[in-house]
Amino acid sequence: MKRWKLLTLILTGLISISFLYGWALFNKKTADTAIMKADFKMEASELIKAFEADELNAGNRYNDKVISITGIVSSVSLEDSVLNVVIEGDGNTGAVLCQFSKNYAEAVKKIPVGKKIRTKGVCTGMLLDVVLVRCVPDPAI
Amino acid sequence: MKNILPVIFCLCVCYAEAQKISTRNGKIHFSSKAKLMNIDAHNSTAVSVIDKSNGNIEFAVLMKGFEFERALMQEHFNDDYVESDKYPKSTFKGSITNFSTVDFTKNGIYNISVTGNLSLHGITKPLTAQGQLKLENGFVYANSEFNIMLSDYNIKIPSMVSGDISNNIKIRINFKYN
Repeated sequence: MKRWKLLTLILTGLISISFLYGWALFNKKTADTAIMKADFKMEASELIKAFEADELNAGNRYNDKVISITGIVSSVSLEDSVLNVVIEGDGNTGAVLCQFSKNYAEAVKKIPVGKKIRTKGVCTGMLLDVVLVRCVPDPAI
Repeated sequence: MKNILPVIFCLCVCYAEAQKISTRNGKIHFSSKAKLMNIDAHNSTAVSVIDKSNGNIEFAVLMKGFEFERALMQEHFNDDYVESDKYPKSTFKGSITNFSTVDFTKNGIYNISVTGNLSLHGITKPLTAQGQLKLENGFVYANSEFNIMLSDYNIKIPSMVSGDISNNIKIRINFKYN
């Protein structure tokens, strides 16, 4: 009788732990890019050239990866909940559009147009520009 | 005479381009209500162009740019539902059918109907949607809400959760054009 009670207790415990783990996994938020290590570090122009030369292969290499890029800010868009910063290439290429999380609104407001900055975000592909989302500002250089 | 032709050509090209307004910060939100869970996702990096000379309108959005509250939902959306590695973009190409009622030189709110083709998950289907163009202080704002059926675009909901995730998705777009 004692053995059955012990087994029931262990089984209940395991089921509870599994349920709690599953529930935690289900409700887990997307990771903050600020604490994620960059998979690639490069100049913005290098990333843009890779996509312009071969979008398919560049997508396979860089999409879903955390990329730290450096480049000159050409525009900052602060509208409603949209916090987008455009970092230009080297004049002969397109640009990188960096979409920042709402948490960084104050930091984004201080990003100076025309200055060189470093930012880190997750690459999602290319439309007119190469797009990084969940960007976080790195210290200006 | 031969010096003036390139100038005229450049002016024509510039004029044609000036007729187009665009945005690279377009907001697209989709939602779905079902028994088990409501699904919400948003993307604020859509690009769109309106040609003011003929009412043609296009937009494109990267599927990996949709952000969900839950990481697992975002992962399933990309890996299992829209297969964003295979079909990274969704696009719409169409035109404003009542374009003659829109005066881009006058501030105001114009109710519009847009007809075109929506491409999603490798499938292209005709789509008609109602919306609004608001002209204010040199900017053009476009808003629209429409529904699509996931099954129309061959997006399969696993039978295990088919009762819990709706096939009917509401899409809302908000674009601000420069």
